Amino acid sequence: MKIHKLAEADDLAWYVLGRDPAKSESVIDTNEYLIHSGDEAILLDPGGTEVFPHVVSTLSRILPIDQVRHFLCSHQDPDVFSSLPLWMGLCPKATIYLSWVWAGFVAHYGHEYVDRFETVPDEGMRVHVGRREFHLVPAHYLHSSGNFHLYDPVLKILFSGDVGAALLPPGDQPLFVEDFAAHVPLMEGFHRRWMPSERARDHWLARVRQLEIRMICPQHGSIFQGEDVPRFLDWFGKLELGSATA
Amino acid sequence: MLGRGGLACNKWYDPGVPLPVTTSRVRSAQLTTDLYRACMTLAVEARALLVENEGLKRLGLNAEVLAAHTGAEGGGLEVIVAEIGRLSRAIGVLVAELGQAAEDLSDESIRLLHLAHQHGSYAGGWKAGIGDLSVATYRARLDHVGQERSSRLARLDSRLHTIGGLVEDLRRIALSIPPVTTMIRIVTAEVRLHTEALLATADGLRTFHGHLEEKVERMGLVRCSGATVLRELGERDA
Repeated sequence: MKIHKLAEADDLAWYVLGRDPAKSESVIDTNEYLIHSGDEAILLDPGGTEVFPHVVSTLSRILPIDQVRHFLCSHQDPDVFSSLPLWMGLCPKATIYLSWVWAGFVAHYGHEYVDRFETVPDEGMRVHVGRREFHLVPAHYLHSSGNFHLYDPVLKILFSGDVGAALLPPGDQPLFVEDFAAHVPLMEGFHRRWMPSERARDHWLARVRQLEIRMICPQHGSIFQGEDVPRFLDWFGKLELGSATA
Repeated sequence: MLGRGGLACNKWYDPGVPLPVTTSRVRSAQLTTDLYRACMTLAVEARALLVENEGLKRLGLNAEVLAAHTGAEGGGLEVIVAEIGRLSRAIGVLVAELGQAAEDLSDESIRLLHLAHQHGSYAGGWKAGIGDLSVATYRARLDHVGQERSSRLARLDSRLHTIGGLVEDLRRIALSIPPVTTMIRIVTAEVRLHTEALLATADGLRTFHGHLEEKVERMGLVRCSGATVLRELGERDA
C-alpha cells in the first residue's frame, strides 16, 4: 500500500493511504485518510477487512497505532469500515463518529463497540483531534441517507467520501487529478448512478461553496486540488443525478 | 503549508510494505466454514432422526394394540411391545441430545469463524510488517485473538468427542433392532394371529433400522470430517 503526506502545518498532518497492490481485483480501491495532530489521530473511512492488513501495516509506520483515537465512518458501506471490529480490537478506547441513522445497523459489525459510538446529528458537529478542530459537514443522500464529510479549516481540505469518487483503471494512476476533462468519464457514471438526489446535491454545494477549499479528497480515485476544486463543484452542480439506470 | 502534495509531486510514496500471505487467512476461513457446515449437517440429520423415531413409536403402539387383541396367547407380543418402547425411548433421548450438541457445536463454530477471520487479518498485518512503535500493541492483540481461537478450538474438539460418543451409542442401539424383528417373526409363526399386521410391523422395524444405520453412518462421516477440519485448524494455530 502506498502513502502520501498531503499537507502539514505545525502539529497537523494529513496522509492518504491507498493503491493497495495486494488487494484482490474484485475489491474496489479505496483511499484511507489519516489526520495526525499532537499525540492523536483520526482515520477517515478506515476501509474494508480486505485491505486492513495493509492499512494497519502502513499506518503503523507513521505513528503508534494506539494514537488513533477517532474514526470517522462517512456512511455505512462495507468498503468504508467493515474493518472497524479489527481496529477497535487495537484501539478499544477510540471514538467512532457516524450518523445516528446508521448506529443500529453498524452495531451488526460488533455490538461490543456500541458504547464507543458518537452518533452525529443531521446538522453535523465539531470534532477535536489533538489540539485541532474539524467540522463534520452534512452530505445526506450523497449517496447515503446518513452521510458526513470532514472539513479541516486550517489546511482547507475537504474529505468528501463518495462525492468526487472515480473508478480508476488498473495501473499506477496519479494521486491528484492531472487533466480534469480526461477525469470526468472516470467519475460520471459513478455519480449518475450512486448519487440519487439533485436537491441533496444542491444543498451540499451551497454549504461547501461557503468553505475555502484547497483539496477535495474522495474515498476512491484521485484528489482534486487548486483550480480543479471549483471545476469539480461546477461539473457536479450540472450533472443529472439518479439517471444511470436503463 | 502544503507538504509533498503539490502538483510538482503528483506521486505516491511506496514504503515497501511486503505483501502478506492471504492464502492462510482464506484457508482458515474455508476450514471454519466447512466445520460450520458439518455441524449444521449433523443437526439436520439429528432432527430427521427425531421425526423417524415418531414412526418407531407408532410401530410400538400398533404392536401394543395387537397384543391387547391377542389376549392370553399374545404374551410373546407384550415382550416385543416392551422392547420396541424401550428402543424408541432410548433413541429419542439420544437423538435429542445429539441434536442439541450439534446445534451448540454450530453456534461455537460461528464464533470460531469470526475469530478465524480476525486472526487471519491480524496475522496478515503482522506479515506485512508493523512499525516499531506499534509492535507491542499489535503483538498483544494478535496473541490475544490467537489464544481465544485456540481455546475455542479446544472446546469444539471436546464437544465433537461428545457427539462421537452419542453416535456410537446410537450405533449400538441400532444393533438391537434386528433381534426384535426376528422375535416378531417367531411370535407370528407361533401365534398365527394378526400375521399380516405383525409382519408389517417387522417390515416397518427393518426399514427404520436401515434408515437409522444409514444416518448413523452419515453422522459418523460428518463427525470425522469435522474432526479433520479441527485438526488442521489446530495445526495451523500451532
